[in-house]
Amino acid sequence: MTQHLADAHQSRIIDQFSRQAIPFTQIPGHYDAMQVLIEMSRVTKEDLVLDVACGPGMVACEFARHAHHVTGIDITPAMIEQAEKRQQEQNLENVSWQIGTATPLPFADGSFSLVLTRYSYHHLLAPTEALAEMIRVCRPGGRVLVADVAIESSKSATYDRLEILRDPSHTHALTREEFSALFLNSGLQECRQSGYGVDIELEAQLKASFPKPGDEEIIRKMVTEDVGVDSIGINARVGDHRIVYTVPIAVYVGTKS
Amino acid sequence: MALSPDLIAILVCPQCKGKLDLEANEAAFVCPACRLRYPVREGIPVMLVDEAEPTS
Repeated sequence: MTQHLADAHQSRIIDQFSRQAIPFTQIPGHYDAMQVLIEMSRVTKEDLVLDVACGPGMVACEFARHAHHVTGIDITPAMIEQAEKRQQEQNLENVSWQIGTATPLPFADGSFSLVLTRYSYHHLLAPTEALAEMIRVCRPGGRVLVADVAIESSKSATYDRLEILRDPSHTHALTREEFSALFLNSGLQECRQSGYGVDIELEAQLKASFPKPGDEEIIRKMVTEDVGVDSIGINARVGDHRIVYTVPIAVYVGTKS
Repeated sequence: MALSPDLIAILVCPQCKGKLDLEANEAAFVCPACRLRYPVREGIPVMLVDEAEPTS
């Protein structure tokens, strides 16, 4: 990957998430299964937490209720503005925010006891390096948690095609095998895995997305024609006269030795 | 809002991972090794190498 391509990709992320800053927080599905993250992370009141690519701060603010302190970092200033607003609305004082990248992270080695990220890996160009950075800033004995889409390998290419049309900052959703290999080869110990599905209504998702002109109809057609076929791996179906689908999310956590 | 001492203690230069100095008015973090200045905008440190300003 040349620097030029990396810079162009970074611009696509900021562009998409500046537009998504408000709609993203308004999708009810994004509140689902927070409890899975709380339980998998085993967060306690002693924890210093880092939320990488924190977006509008949903996870960071929820973890702030269970942890000593949470730091959220995101590359998109509009997302950090939303995160600050959420923090103020919830009267949370144990949260701070930075603007910065996932690779590299601007923190000293071993700064946190719990380092997590949700729904970011499918935007990354180098997930292995990102996980290595998360592990670097985690102290020995601390936990590193990643939650993201995990698609069946036979359906991965079609899913990526759909998502890149919907959100040009999408890169690649890890397959379940890639996700497992990422953690197993990371040096993290006592790795655990869980998962859940996020139910999404197609039209609501399209309203919250910013595809290129003309691509919206292609996305609608792809998902609608996948009902009963499931070549995309999202179980597209008709429910209450609407097209709905379920994005499979994997949650991996490991301990730094 | 003043920056938290805990945050000041753990922030490093994203380029060299070296220690940063905080300007007296908390307007920016400075990396003496890279000669880069990372601005603090409305209390939020902007830790991006691309947006850092060279120091003289």
